[in-house]
Amino acid sequence: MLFRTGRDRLRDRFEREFKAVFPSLNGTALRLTRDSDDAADLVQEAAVRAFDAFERFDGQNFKAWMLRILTNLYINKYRQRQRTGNQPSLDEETMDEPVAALTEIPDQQILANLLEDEVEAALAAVPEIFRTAVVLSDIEGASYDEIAEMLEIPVGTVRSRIARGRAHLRGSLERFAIERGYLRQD
Amino acid sequence: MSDSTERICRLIDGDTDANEGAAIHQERQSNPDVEATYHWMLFVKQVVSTKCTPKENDPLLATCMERIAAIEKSKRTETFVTRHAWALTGALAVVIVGGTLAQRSFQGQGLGDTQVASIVGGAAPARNTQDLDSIRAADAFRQLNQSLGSVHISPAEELRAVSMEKGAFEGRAFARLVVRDSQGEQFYIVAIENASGKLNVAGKKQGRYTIGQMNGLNTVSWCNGGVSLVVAGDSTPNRLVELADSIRADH
Repeated sequence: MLFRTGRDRLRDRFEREFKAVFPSLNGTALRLTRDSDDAADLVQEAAVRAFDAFERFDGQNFKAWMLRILTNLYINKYRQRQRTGNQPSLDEETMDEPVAALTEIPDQQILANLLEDEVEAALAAVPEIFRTAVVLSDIEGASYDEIAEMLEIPVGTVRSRIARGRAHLRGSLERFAIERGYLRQD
Repeated sequence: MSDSTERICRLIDGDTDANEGAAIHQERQSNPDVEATYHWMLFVKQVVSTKCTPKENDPLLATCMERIAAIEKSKRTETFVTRHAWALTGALAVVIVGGTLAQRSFQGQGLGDTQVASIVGGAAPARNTQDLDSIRAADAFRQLNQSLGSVHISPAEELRAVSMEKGAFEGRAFARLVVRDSQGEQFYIVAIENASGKLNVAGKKQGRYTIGQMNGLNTVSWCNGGVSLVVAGDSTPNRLVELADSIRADH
């Protein structure tokens, strides 16, 4: 095109920024929905909404802004849809969680032997509201304040959800380590 | 879940102040459970951050880009139409007016196909409609001649007048006479004011006549002085020519 308009430049900028964060968005969508079709729909819809609102983006942190759009969309739409299936409603206060009984400390050998799929499966087994906080914190590197803003919840709730999510993961990984003989059961 | 797990997670994530951090480290030394929890929480964070990687998906990325391109295209069109609504409306008006003027200019003062078809088909508004059941064709033709002024057409003996309409269409006076022959077949004899003497109707030339079709009827048209005449009917062109010959006063 010989002449580029303001909208052309806006679209170019959006595409550039979107491509850079796309793997993170796709990974987050897959981990939230646990379904590749739902994840694809979620990412597409988030892209469309973000492009629509791109003129209002403050230019500070595109990844955090995109993740906020994606998680909000997931919470408002996809989670609701998934809940209409057989998934029980999750209550943060009454959630059962594995209680670690081991005082043994994990070592790097366990980490080296863990496969990506095994960790993904352990993460997928974490109840959704805790999983979302852990994904945003430990995979996407968002701060507590950013997560609170993305999920529109108080920072105190973010702290609690991350701790509970990690406690669940600890339980799964402990079982894995015991099964493989890396740890002894008390 | 113990409160210490949450405090340990906050320490790991850098969400504690110096005093809180020091207190937790002190607890680690005195409590093996706290020490184990500290290492497990560190381990979990490390495992998740190193094993759960971003997911590439080129086809999905391409689909997203296509959807954005489609939205952009529709947005552009919308913006253009909104921004230039007045100009587009104006341009459309110019095209319509210009087209009409060009058509008239092209035809000069002549009579066009559309005008003739409207009058022949009865679509043109009539000022005066008369039921002529009781009037002989000769009277109807006399009236027709009176209304046409300069042109004179003769009644054919075989014709019976059914009705006559007079009116004006696009500034032209016209008279539309419905007649039946002895066989009961219906014909329309239409006379339209046409000072230019130009009759721009589509059809085949045959002598003074133009033989064509309008509104599904065969037509024979010709000009006579300041009037254009059309004989139309669901008959063969030859029959219409025969009829036209019989009513033409100048024949």
